Amino acid sequence: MAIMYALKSSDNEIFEVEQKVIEQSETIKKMIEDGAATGEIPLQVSSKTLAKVLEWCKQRQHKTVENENDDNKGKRKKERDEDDDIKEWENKFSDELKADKDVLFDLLLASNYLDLPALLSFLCQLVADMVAGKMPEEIRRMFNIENDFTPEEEKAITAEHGWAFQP
Amino acid sequence: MSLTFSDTDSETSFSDDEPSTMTTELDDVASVTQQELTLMSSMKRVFKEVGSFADDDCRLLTVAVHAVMLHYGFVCFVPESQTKLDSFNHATTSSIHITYTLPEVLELTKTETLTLSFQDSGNFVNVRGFLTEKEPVVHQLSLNRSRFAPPLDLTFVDSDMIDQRIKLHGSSSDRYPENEVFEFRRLVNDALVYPLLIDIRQKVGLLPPPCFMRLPAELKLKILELLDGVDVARAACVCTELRNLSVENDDLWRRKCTGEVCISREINRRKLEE
Repeated sequence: MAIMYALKSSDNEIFEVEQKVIEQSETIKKMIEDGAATGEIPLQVSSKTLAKVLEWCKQRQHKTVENENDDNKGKRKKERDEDDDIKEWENKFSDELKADKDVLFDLLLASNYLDLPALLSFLCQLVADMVAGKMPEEIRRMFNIENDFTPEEEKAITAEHGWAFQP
Repeated sequence: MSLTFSDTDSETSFSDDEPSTMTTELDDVASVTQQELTLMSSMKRVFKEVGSFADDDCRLLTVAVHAVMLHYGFVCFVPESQTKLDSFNHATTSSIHITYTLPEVLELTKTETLTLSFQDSGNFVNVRGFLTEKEPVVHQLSLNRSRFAPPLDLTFVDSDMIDQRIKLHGSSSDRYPENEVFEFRRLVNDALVYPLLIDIRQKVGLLPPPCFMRLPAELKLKILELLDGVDVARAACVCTELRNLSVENDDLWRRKCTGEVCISREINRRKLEE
C-alpha cells in the first residue's frame, strides 16, 4: 500500500497524494525526511496551481514506473510511442498555460518554491519560446509590461540595440 | 428585457466536469468553488441560464465574453447604487455596456470599476475594455462572428437541439468546435481579462495577478539565458528591469552574440575545409 500524504493549499483545499509522486519536490522530500511532514503539509500554493503541479508530477511518475517495468524486448518501439505520447501531453499542457498566463506564472513561482527542477526548466523554456522572435512592443503587450524608460533612455537603448530590430 | 446571469448558485451541478486531478476532499467546508470549475463548465452554466442565441450572433458573443469574465472572478457592478449585481440589462441598441469589478476591490470598500463595451459592426463584434476613469488605457478585441459564433453555439447548446444547430451552421461546423472555443477563450483572456485584471488591481494597490514582472530576478535571468543574442537584445529594450538584468550580467546579449558569431565562423571554416 502506497504511503499517502495530505497537501493543504493556501486556500485550504486538501490534496491526497502518493509519497512517490510528491517526492519529486525537493522541498517536500526534505520536509518528509526531517519528519516535519506529519498530518497535513501546508503549502503557499493556491489549489488551482497545486492541481497543475500534481498533474505534472503524476505524468512524470507514470513515465518512470513504466520504464522500470519494461524488459528489453520491444522496448525501443514502446519508448518511441511513449515519447510521442509525452510530447502530445506536454503540448497540451503548454497550450493550456499559454492561454492562462496567470496560471503559467503562478506555476513558475510554485515550481521554484517547491524545488521541482524539471518543471521549472520546462516552464522557463516555454516562456523563452514565447518571447523569442518578438519585438519589444510585442513582448510588452504579451506580458503587460509597462514601458518605464524616459524618452532619453529609450532613444539611447534603441540606438545601442537597434541592430536587433532588423528583420 | 432582462437577462439574468447568476454566478453564485448551482455551483456543484457541473461537478462531473471537474478536472480529474482533483482528489479527495477531507474538509467538507472546502466545497467546489467557482474558480475550480473548468472554464467550459462555468461557460456552459451561463449559457444554460441565458438560453442560446442562434439568431443573434452579437449577443451570443457578448454572453460568451461575459462568461469568461465571470470565470476569472469579475462580478457585475452598478455604479449608481454601488452594489454588486449578478445580472445586466440587455439593451436593444447595437451597443452594450457592462460594468464589472472584483470582489477583492469591494472588500477594500473601493469603487473602482471597469467597463466592457460591445459594438456590433458587420462581420465583427468589437469589444473595448477600460477602467472607468478619465483617459483610460483601452484594451480592444475584434471577434469574427462567422468564425466564433457557430462553435460557441454548438458547444453550449442543449444536447437535444444539436442536430438542428448543425443543420443551421452547415455540416462542417461540428468538427472540433472545442478547439475554436479554446482559441476564443485565449483571445479574450489575452486581450481583455488579463490586462484588465492587472490594471484594476494596480489601481487599488493590490498585487497584480501572477505575471512576468512578478517573477524573482533569478527566474527572469534564467529565462533570458535561454534566449538567442538577438532576442536578449530585444528583451533588454522592453523595460528598465530587463535592461539592467541583461547589462549587469556581463552584457548577456553581447556574450551570447559573440558566442554565436564564433560558432557560425567555426561552421563556415569547417565547410570551407571540406
